[in-house]
Amino acid sequence: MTIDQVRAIARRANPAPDPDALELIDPLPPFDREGSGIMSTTQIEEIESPTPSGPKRAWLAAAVAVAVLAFGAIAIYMNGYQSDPFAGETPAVAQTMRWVAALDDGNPEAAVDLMGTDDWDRDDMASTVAFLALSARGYAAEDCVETPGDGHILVTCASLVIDDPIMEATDLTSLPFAMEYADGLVAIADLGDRSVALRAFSSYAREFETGRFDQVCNSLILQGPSWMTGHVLTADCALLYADVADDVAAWVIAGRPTP
Amino acid sequence: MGKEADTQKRSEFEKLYASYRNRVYAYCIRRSTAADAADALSETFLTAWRRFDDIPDAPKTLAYLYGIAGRVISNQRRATGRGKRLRRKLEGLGVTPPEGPATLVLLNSEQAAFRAALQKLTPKDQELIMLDIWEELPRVQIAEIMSMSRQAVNQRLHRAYKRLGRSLEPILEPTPFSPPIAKEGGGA
Repeated sequence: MTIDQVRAIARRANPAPDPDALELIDPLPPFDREGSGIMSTTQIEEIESPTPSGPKRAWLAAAVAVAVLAFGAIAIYMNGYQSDPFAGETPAVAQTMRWVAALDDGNPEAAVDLMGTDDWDRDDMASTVAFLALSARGYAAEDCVETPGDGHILVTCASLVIDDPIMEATDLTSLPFAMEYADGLVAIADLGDRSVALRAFSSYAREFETGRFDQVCNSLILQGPSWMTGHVLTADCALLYADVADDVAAWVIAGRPTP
Repeated sequence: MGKEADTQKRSEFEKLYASYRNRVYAYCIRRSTAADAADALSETFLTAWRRFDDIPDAPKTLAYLYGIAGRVISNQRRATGRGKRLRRKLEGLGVTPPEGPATLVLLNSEQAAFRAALQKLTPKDQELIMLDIWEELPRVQIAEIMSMSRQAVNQRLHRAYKRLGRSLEPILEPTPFSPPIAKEGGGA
């Protein structure tokens, strides 16, 4: 099934294809009905009337309810836009968690920005990080602690959980993970050894996706940062990895049958 | 704020509301039930009123409002989850809480298959797909809402559509026609 076919199905499945045709019950109170309404800046004086009664009492109850609702909505908004989910962590642990969150988001640029550039070949690093971010479905670091050292800070995490069917098929659901910081920049990022999974991908893709593998992954043909697994670590190769991950996993589980 | 300024602000907000409420409501309907969507719409515009000075001009206004609505709906879902947990606890104590209003959704097989396939994706990928295909937002605005780079949005969407296609294929591909088997001695 092509992406265009999937997009066509998605378009047909839209539960509200024409917003203008929706029947909408106006959910907002009137702005200026008899001097009341949530938008009025004078209503507080009216609320403070000592003994509201009759319609005014009803209006007071409604105004308070609306105010609570509004503050609740603002709290959600502020929480969503301004809070840092790693605010309670030490700076180095928070930085590490942000880096993993960037990988989890499939956002290699954000991850690279968090690493600094002093001791890295930026192109190679960016390419490798792009492979990491785009090849797996998700990342989560667990139980990270900071250990200050002589001129550096080491953050070690008990595990880096990687959502990747090939890793699962090769019994590598999580790996130890560490980051070392010097002068506030990442000096070493150790994501553990996932070479078994990378080799499985490489072997499968060479055999069953030869054309695409040669085009975007084959380290013998392409220039690019590569590792001892036979493929380059680039964003394009990561997309092939992600595309065939389920098939590679099934192939590994079936005992790697030859065609 | 003076009365004149207050009146002007109100008037501008009314225009904003009239211009965008249907599209924000449609956004909420696509992610929620009809009843919850009305609440989400209300909360979204209450927040928009409070943050009125921060609302960017078109063409960024709609994406900004979608951002608020998305967070309101997330909070609703958390509340629904808490309600379900409470319900389970009450049932464990032998108390049957009253049922909420029933929601009947009729979907054809293709829509049902799409919904099921969509739910297999991560929440972030689901949102990307919906912003792309249902909200029809430009990729650059999707990137802003999702706090991602445009390239990351493109790549992630590419992967998500591929994954959707793989989930949909076995459900939607027509099965080969097989004639009904005639029973021996079935008579007329």
